[in-house]
Amino acid sequence: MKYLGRKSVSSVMCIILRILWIGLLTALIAGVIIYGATLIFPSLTENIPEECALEFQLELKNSLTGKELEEWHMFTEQSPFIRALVIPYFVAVTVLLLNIVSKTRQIFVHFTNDVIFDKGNTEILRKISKFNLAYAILTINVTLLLISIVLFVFCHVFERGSNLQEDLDLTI
Amino acid sequence: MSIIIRLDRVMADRKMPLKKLAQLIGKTETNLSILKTGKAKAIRFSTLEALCRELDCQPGDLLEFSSDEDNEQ
Repeated sequence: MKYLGRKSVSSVMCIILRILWIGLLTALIAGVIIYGATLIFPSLTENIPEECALEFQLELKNSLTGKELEEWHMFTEQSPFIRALVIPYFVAVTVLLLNIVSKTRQIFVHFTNDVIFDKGNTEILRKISKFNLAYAILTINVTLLLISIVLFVFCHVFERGSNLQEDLDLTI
Repeated sequence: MSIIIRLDRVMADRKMPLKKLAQLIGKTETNLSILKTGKAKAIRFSTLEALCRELDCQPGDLLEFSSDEDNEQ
């Protein structure tokens, strides 16, 4: 299997990440608009057919544990202003994800063009690890936190690699 | 850097164009230009050997050491 260059895993990853980025952006815009609309116009939720509402509640009960369900009910009873505070959090998390996906795509574009040990790639990798770290802190995810540390280490490996590549390129 | 490449001087003495030298030693004009302008970080023994052979000179004619103090003066 070919991993780098044209018609390789990297080029396929570029396409997948592009689709993912568009999907995430659409979800962000749609999410903010729909959630914002339900907060500003509560009457919108009253028009939902009873069957759909019951189905949603049943799904909620199945997917959430007792404590989570209790917290969900507490959240729905809050004032619209407090519930609106979810929007900046949602936007921040999604924007971080968008940046991670976009930067990862950029690095795969470079891999497709056979640019591997390059200073640009090191910078991109550093940015990805920083965004990943921020995302891990925001979502309180230990696994992602460990991944960000690994990425920081890889970033230094890439830095050394790009220095070696530069030395090699400038050796005549 | 304290090592100065004197390739341009030797080439001018021998009236050797860059394109022809590049062909003779089997390097690209771009790489030879990097060497000529002093942007290169290292030079292979094989390249040095080829340059000396084609330009009929010694490595000392192509490379010159200049201490930092000399540079300041």
